[in-house]
Parts: sequence; structure tokens; C-alpha cells
Amino acid sequence: MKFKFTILITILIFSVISTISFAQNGKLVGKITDLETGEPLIGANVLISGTTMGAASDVNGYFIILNVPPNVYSIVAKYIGYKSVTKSNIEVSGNVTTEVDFALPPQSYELGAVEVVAPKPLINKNLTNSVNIVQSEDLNNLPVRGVNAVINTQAGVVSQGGNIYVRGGRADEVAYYVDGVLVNNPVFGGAQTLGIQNAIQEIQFQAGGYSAEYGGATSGIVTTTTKIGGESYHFSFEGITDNFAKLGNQFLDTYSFGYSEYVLTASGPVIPSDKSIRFFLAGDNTFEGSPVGFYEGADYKNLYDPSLGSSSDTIDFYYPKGYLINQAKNTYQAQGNIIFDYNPFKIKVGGSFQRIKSRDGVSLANYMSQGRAGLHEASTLTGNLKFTHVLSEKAFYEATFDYFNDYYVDEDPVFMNNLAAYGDSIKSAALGYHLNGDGTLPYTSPYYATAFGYTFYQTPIPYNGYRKQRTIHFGGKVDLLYQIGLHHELKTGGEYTYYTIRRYSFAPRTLISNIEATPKDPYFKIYNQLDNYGYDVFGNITDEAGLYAPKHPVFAAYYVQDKMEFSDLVVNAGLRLDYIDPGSKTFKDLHNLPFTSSDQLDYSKMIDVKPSVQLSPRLGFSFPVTDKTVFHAQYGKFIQETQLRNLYLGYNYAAFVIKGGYAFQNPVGYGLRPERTTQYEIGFKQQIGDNFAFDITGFYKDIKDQIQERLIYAESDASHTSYYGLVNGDFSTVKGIELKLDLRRTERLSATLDYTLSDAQGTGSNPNSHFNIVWQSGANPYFPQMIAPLDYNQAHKGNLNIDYRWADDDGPNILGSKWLENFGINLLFSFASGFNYTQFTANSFGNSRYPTEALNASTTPWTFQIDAKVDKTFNIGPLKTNIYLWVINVLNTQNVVGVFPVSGDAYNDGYLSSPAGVAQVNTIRSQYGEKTAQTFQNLYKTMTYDSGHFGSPRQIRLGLRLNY
Amino acid sequence: MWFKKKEAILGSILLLTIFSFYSCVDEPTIEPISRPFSSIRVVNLSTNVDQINITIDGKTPSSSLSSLALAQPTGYFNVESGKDTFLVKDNSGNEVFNGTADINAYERYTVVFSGTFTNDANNNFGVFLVDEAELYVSVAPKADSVGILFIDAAGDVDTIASKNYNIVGHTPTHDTTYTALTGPVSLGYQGIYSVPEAEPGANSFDFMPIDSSATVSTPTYNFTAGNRYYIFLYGNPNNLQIFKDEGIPPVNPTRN
Repeated sequence: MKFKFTILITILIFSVISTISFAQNGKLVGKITDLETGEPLIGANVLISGTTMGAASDVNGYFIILNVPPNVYSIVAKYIGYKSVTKSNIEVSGNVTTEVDFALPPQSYELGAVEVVAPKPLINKNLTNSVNIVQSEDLNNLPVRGVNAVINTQAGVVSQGGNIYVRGGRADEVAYYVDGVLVNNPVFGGAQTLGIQNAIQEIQFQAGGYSAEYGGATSGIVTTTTKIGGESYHFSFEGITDNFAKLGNQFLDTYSFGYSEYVLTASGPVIPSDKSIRFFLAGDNTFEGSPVGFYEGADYKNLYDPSLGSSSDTIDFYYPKGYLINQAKNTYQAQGNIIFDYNPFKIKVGGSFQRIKSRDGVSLANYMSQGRAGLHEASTLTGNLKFTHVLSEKAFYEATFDYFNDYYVDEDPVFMNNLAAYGDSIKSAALGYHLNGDGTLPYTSPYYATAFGYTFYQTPIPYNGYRKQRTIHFGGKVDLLYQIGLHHELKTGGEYTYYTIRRYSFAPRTLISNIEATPKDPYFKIYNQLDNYGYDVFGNITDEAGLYAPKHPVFAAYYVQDKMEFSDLVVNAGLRLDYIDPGSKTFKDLHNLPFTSSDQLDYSKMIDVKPSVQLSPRLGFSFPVTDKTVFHAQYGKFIQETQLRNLYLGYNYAAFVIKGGYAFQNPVGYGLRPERTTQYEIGFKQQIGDNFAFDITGFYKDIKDQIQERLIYAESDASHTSYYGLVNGDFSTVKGIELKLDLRRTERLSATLDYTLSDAQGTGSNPNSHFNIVWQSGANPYFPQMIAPLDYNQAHKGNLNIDYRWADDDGPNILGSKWLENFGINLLFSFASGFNYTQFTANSFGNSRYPTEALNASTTPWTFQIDAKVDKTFNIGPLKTNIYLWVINVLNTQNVVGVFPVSGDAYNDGYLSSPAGVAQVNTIRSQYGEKTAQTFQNLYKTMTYDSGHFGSPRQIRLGLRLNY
Repeated sequence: MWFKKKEAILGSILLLTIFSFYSCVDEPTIEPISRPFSSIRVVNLSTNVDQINITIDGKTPSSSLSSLALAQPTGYFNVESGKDTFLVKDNSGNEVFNGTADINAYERYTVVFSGTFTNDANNNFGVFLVDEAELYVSVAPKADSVGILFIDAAGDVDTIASKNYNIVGHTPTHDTTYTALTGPVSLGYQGIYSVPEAEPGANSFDFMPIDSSATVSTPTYNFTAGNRYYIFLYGNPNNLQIFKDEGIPPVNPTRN
């Protein structure tokens, strides 16, 4: 006992000096009574089948089992003199209390062991905020794949341009955890790796109101729990493909995009005779031959510029329809874990590896350079070790250590790491390409041609970019859960994450001319064109302090919370202390920056940015009026560091931009504070009848200190001009209502509806929203001081998911077989109102365009889409075989998600019907004839067509799943 | 002890796996950026230092730079591009020159030391460069012609700093002025004149002071098609010396 107490104190102390995180396991509670009398049974045993976990009921018949990994279990209750009762299909989710009560029949009852299949619970009174949980079985049935695609079906989520926006927050305000390890890219936001879908046991999504144990995000938390090995061996294979035609060829009125995915999993005991050491492994290869989109293609022969007469070059210009050339993506993933289960100790070692190789593609003007489009290679390695020690039935602690290592490089696919070759005309010539001797592009015939004002390179050119970035973090966290009596679940813990971030970014085509111009300069004077930290001028790793030192941000937190679970009230009260050290430098006076005589920033006069510390209260309530009626409410403050890209820029490049007074679209801010959010949430859950429930939740968010681009004015005695920078300036308010309807499986039908009515307004949608104001407004720019709908505001959004499924031995008997047993249809009907945008007088940037209406007063059209999956499961020997047809966008609806700001049309930017456009067409017609005028109009439409204005087209995929 | 041997073995395997994967996130090394180089040769055309010893940026990149005799060019060798420092000593170890020359990257030069060394203010021993175009651009003449480069290194020790010569070339089969030359060409001290396409075979040239029609030299050289030739004028202007350097082979485009 003394030993346990010492450990407890040690953990508490460690928790205080570090920070806290959260355990991802759930809790199982219940009461065991006599079926006849209703009296509590004292000392009855409750066991979770297939595990070593269990508990005994107390003097009031209650039992608690802590630290239960998310899964679907069978729970057995036993007591001397009573028949045992087994309840199967009990879903346990991370950080959720699941209640299972047992009423045991005395032995005298004339029946055998009782087995009950528990229906999926519709109401969980212990949840004080809106938590969406998707289990692995649902993942298999849904006609979407991937964590973000699943999250996009949830209430409160908007997807735009590949980004996820939760309840009106910006794109980088979502934290992704896999097995408790934060996998966000701190530099650019978003998840770096989310693991293999077949390895996911459960996805939890919280759109707000999360308790004190959660941090690192002001809008949403996505928690993925991976599967672990069981006591028997399981193997699975899944293959999916849409390769029913070659890229660019149609089948069933749609295109193949060269998609294929193959997944293997294996799990079980490492040593057959020893069930205490178990493993789970998964491997995945996903190949995408082309991005998915409505691609129009182009086919022109003998294009020329008639205004140039006979001196014009002719251009043959062909681009296939239906797919994009040279933009394939190949992803390999492996992940796994191994558990050493020695009650009361458990060690889980897990890890994942992901490697992605993809191409960037090129613009139409550079269509000759498709072979030289940028090559993107990324590798991500994660590892974690979790040590769990169960101190007693009421207490356990976990210590987790995690490691994250991500590296990516963007480069020319041929010259790769040979930077001097990018601008070397000789090396290009050897490949049949042409560059000028100084590495510049050839703007002369025959290498460059124009047609109706559009320019086309007639020679391949090297990719002009080399970027590499490495992000490493080491993290540690400790969580302690102590159940005090039946009603208090006390949790405390801390976490500490130390990052090392390096970046090297360069446009290498200029290198060769630098080398020739400054042969004796040790750095060829390339340093002022570099955005580098953690790498020296030549891209070698450096850890030396100074201009090129790597960035070492530190994120830490500590929390304590008490979840008080009474029969008529659940209170989750907590405090979270966040410590954020961005590891960046700033200046004493942002309006008068120190420069050296060589126009470099004087590093010695820069000062450290002070760490931010915030104490965030979190308070959640749940009022179970009855078993079927629950009110819930939540209040909380949240803090999040902005994506570090907004803070980090190589100092030499910063000096180059500032000294040069350049208009810089992606500047950084010096001394930026974290963004802060206050959230309020109130909701009501009601079960109607036995199988239907709804949850209606209202929320309000007040977001402050969002990042905004500004012109930082220079003082009169400064040695530089005013420069572009980021400040804490934008703010937003978001309010909305989420409605969830849940029909659990009734007969063969189950359905869910997630609908969100929201109003996200703010002064800016992203840090660069005001670039044009800074750029064009001169000395007295006007920045929005009143909120307006944000770019990603979507007032109405909903998803209706219907699953109709025949169970085992179910369905009509036809010709002696039940052909429909284990046959299922899953339909996902998605609908959303449009996004807000502002109508302008011109489509292009520049000071000649101005808005013709209030900011973001217009909206794009509504979108509708139906996705479907039809599957059939049958057994082939020991193999449980599932074959399915998965169709995305069944109706091939060309949903409009973006428009031209002049016309408000997705296809037509309005120029050809404008007075200027009509005049140009008439001029061409009168001078060169109708055919030429028509060619010009067709080319104009080709060059302005933007596939990004549309959602995904129909995709037909066939899948096969084998389970052993 | 709950932690046994098999767990230790498994743990070791796990660690090995992790380290194996770690190598997959290792990053390739950026190829070192080669410092730019230039190809030069050196010729001593001094009026009074018969043999010179040269170091370039403190190094001796070619053994031929030692005891370099008069009118005997070295072969081409590579040096670092940029402002290179040339230190020249005579065979007695006396410093006769210490100065710099701007060597452009990836170009070919003939570095000419000329003039007369004295220990007083009249010293005009110095260096000048004959830029022979970029290394990776072929400057070879067409296969059926020759290229000729006239280089005047004939410095003056008298009161006249330099003396110009008219060059009149003609072939034995022509009585008139050689057609590749547009006429008498004035060539001053350190001057260079290029004839990119001359006819192969025997060629004769007349060298005469610009202020005089008296021919001081009329050499005849035999040129092989496809080669470049250098004709150096050196020595005292009043006692003009001329030598023809053998042609160099055509250069293929290359950049290390």
C-alpha cells in the first residue's frame, strides 16, 4: 500500500511539472442486482470476455472497470447461486463511461446461461458535450474512406479545398491524435498521418466543448484509436480498385482515376502459447493515378497569334480529358503495435510509417513540362510507448512517450538534390530541354510562343523549386485516473512536447548565375534567396545557434478535472494550463528593425518571444432528466498556437524581403500571440420510442487574436521600408445549431442525420485574406472592422446516412438459399448550401478591381451528392468474404463549390460577354474571320476553366475484403 | 520479475524495427555545389625575365608554372574562378609581380605576362588576359577553316609605351590582301585580334609599324583545318618577336 501511495505521489508530482494528456480508454460501470428481488448483489464478478479485465460489485452492487480499450465486448456477470448473464455488443469508447446493468436470475430459474445482445445505446447521459463516435464496423459500411472523409460527415464540419473547418474555426484549428499521439504538422497545420483505415478501431470527433484533458486545438479534436491484437489470430486483406478502364477512358459514363488500394492486417499472440503478448500489424499501399475532378482537356492544332501575322509560331496543344497527367500519388503505410499484458502492468509499443511520392502537375501554359513537374516525397515515422500500471481497481496511471519524425522534399524529378543543375543550360540541353545560359527561361521563339495573348512554353523547363522540411518531436505525458467512490472520476496529467523543425527552401534555377557572378563568395550570395533554418546555406543540417539555428518550440500543458457522475447530474469540471513557447525571435521595435552593414538582420539584437501561458477553465454539465432525456451544457476557454509557418521564416530571406520592400503574400509575424477561443454549448438529447433519438445542440464561439496580414510601418529613421507582416488582428464569432437524428437498427434499417445550421462571421478567413488591401491601399489601408461571413461559411450542411442490411440467416428463401443474408446497402446523401464570396468588377488581382457588394454577400449554389456502397458477405471456407461496390457521387452531379467573382458562374468568368470581351471577339472576327474568332473564344474558355470550381465526379470502385 | 527474457528479445526486435524504419526518413544529402573553375594557360612574353615561377592564390596548380621559359606557353589547367592572385618570381627568387586578375567562371584564358621588369617606377611587367570564351561553348572553327588569334605582348622599354603594327595577311596564291582580314588592322600593346574563319594551308602575314609601311616581319605559317592558332607578338617593339602557338583541339560543351 505504501508502495502504491509513493507511486501515486510521484506521478502527481511529475504531472505538475510536466503537462497532461489524456487516456484514450473508456470506463465500464453498472449495477448487479437479483432479478427477482432487485436487491444489489455484493461481490458479484463482472468479466470482459477475451480479456483479463474485470471487477467485483461493491456493497451496493455497483462495479467499475477502468481503462477499457475501445472495442465491442461481451460482458459476463457471475455470482454464486445465480445463473451467469452475458451481454454482448457492448461498445466501449475512449473517455466515455458506458453503463451496463445486470439482473442475475437465481439458479432455481428454469433456464441456462442468459445471453443478451445489447442494442446500440442511443443516449449516453455521461457525455457533457457533443461527441461523435464511429466504430470500425461503421467505417466498413460507410461509402467514404479515410478519417477526414468520415469527419466530414459529422455535424459542425465544413470541407472546402481539402481543408476541414470545424464550427467556423480556421483550417488549422483541429488537433489529430492517433493512439494519444498528436500527429499534427505544427508548421502547416492538419494531420501529417492518420494511419490505415483498416487498423482503426474507433474515431472520435469532438466539435467543441471538450474537457480539460484536451488541448492543442481551438475548434475540434479527432481521436483515432487503433486496433490491438486479440487472443486468437486474425488476418485480413482488402483490395479496392477503379481500374476498369485506362486513365482518360470512360466506362459506365465515368472515368477511371487509376485508384487502387491494398491492405493487409494480422493480429494475435506473438507466441501461440502466451496470450499476454499480442500484436497488431497493418500495411497499406494506395495508388492514385490522377487527382479526381471534372477535367475538360484541350485539343488544338496550329494555334497561332493572328496579330503577329506570318511571324507567329504555331502551337499544337493537346491535354487529355478526364484526368491530369503526371500527377500520380503513391502511398505506402505500415503500422502496428505490440502489447505486453501483465496485469497490473501493461506496455504497449506502437508505431507507424508512411511514405508518399507524388507529382505536382503543371499549368496549361507549361504543358510541355509535364515530365518535369515537381516531385514530392514525404516520409513520416511515429513511435510510442505506453506504460500502464493499474494501482488498484480504482486507480491507474499511464506514462506515454512518443516520437514523431516527418520529412518531406519537393524537387525536380531529374535533378533532385543537384541544385546547381537546375539552372544549368548544358545539363538541360543534355535532356533535350532549353534554358538560357544564366538559368532563366527562354522567352524567345522557338522556345516560347503566344496565341491570342496566351503564352506557351515550347520546350520543357526544369521545376524551379527545392524545399525540404523536417519536423521531429519527442513527447512525454503522464495521466492519472483515480475513481473516488462511485461518483468522482478524478483525472490529472501533463504533457510535454519538444520539437525540432528545419526548413530549406530555394528557387535553384538562379543558383548557376549566382555561382558564376560570385565565384569567390563562400556562399555565392545565395543566402538572401533562402528560407532556411536548421539547415545551413548549402542545405546541410546544422544545430549551431544563430541565424540558421533550428526552431525548437515547446508545447506543454497540465490539467486536472473531476467528472462527477450522479444519477441525475453529471458535471465535468476542469482546469487546463497551457504553456506555449514558439521558439522564435522577435524585435524590440517592429517598426525599426536592426540590420547589419551587409543588409542582413542583426541576429544579436533580436530577442526571444516570451512563452504564452493560459489557464483555461472547462465546465460541462449533463442533466439526465430520465433515462431518455438529457440536457447538456458546456463552457470552456481554449488556446492554440497558430501554425508555425506564420512565425518561421529564414532570417536572411526575411531580410531580403523587408529590405527589398517586396509585396510578400506569405509573410510571417514577429511576436505573435496564440489564438484564443471561448466556447459555449447547450444541448438536449431525447430518445423517442425504443430505437430513435435526437440531439439538438446550440453553440457559440468567440474567437480572438486570429492572424491577419498587415503593413508594418517603418519609422522615419529605419533603414528599411514598410514591410508585410502578420499580426494578431482578426476575430470571429460563430453560432449555430446542430441536429443529430439516430435511428438504431430496427429490423434491417438504421439511419443517422447530421444537420448543422451555422453562421460563421469574422474579419478575415485566413491570415492572407487582406493581402490585396495591404498591397493596393497605399499608406492608409482600410481593414474590415466589422464581421462578415467567412469564405468557408456554409449556412446549411447535412448528411443523411441510411443503412439497410440483412443479418445472418435473414431474408427470403429463394431456391433454397437466403441470397440476401448479409447483404447491405449504405447510402450517404450529402447536402449543403453554398460558400460565401464577394462579387468583383474584375477577376484578376490588382488595383483595378473593386467589390460591387458587401464582403462575402453572395453564395455559391447548393450542392447535393449521393454516395453508395452495396456489399455482400459470405464465407469461403474459413474466410469471411465481403465484396462490395462503392460509388462516389452516384448521379455524377457537377457540384459547384467555387465561382468566378465577376460572373458568379463556375464555368464562365464573364469576360466574353462583357463589353471588352465582345469588342475583342468582334475585332478578331472582322480582321481574321469567324473561324479565328471562334478559336479565340474556345481557347479563352479552356484557359480560364477551373476544375477547382467543382466537386468530385462519379467514381466507381470495387472492393474485396477477406477476413480470417 | 514480470519482465522476462522473451519480452527483452521482443523489445529488442521492436527497437530494431524502429531503427530500420528510421533509415527510411533519413534525408538525402544535397550534392555539394562545386566551386566554379576556369581553364587557363600561362605564357611568359617578358622582354627581360627569361624564366618565371608563378603561384596562383598561393598554390601551384601546374608544374609547368615553375621556370616558365620565354614564349613557351603552359598547357591548360584549372584554377578557381574569381579574382585570383598571381605571384611571379624570377629564377633568382626576386618578386617581379604580385597582383590579381579577374578570372570569370567557366571560361578559358591565356594569361600573358609581358613587359619589362625594373626595380623602379618604369617597371611595366604585368599581366593581361586573353579571354577565349566559355568552357562549355565550343569555339572550334569549322572543319574546313582555321581560327587565328593575334595577341600583341610587345611591350616597350623606351619612351614609347607601345607601338602599333599593321597586320596584313595574304596567301601565296593571292597578291591582294588576305580576304579574311578586312584590311590593315591596328593592334596595340595587349591588343587581341581574332580571325574566326581563315583558310587552312600556308598563310603569310606582314607586320609593320603603324606609322610606317616598312615591314618588320613576314612570317608564313601552315595551318591545319579545324584548329585554332595563336600568333603572339612580343619582345621589344623595335625588335619584334613573333611565334605561332600550335592549335588546340575543338572543345566539347561541358561543365564538370
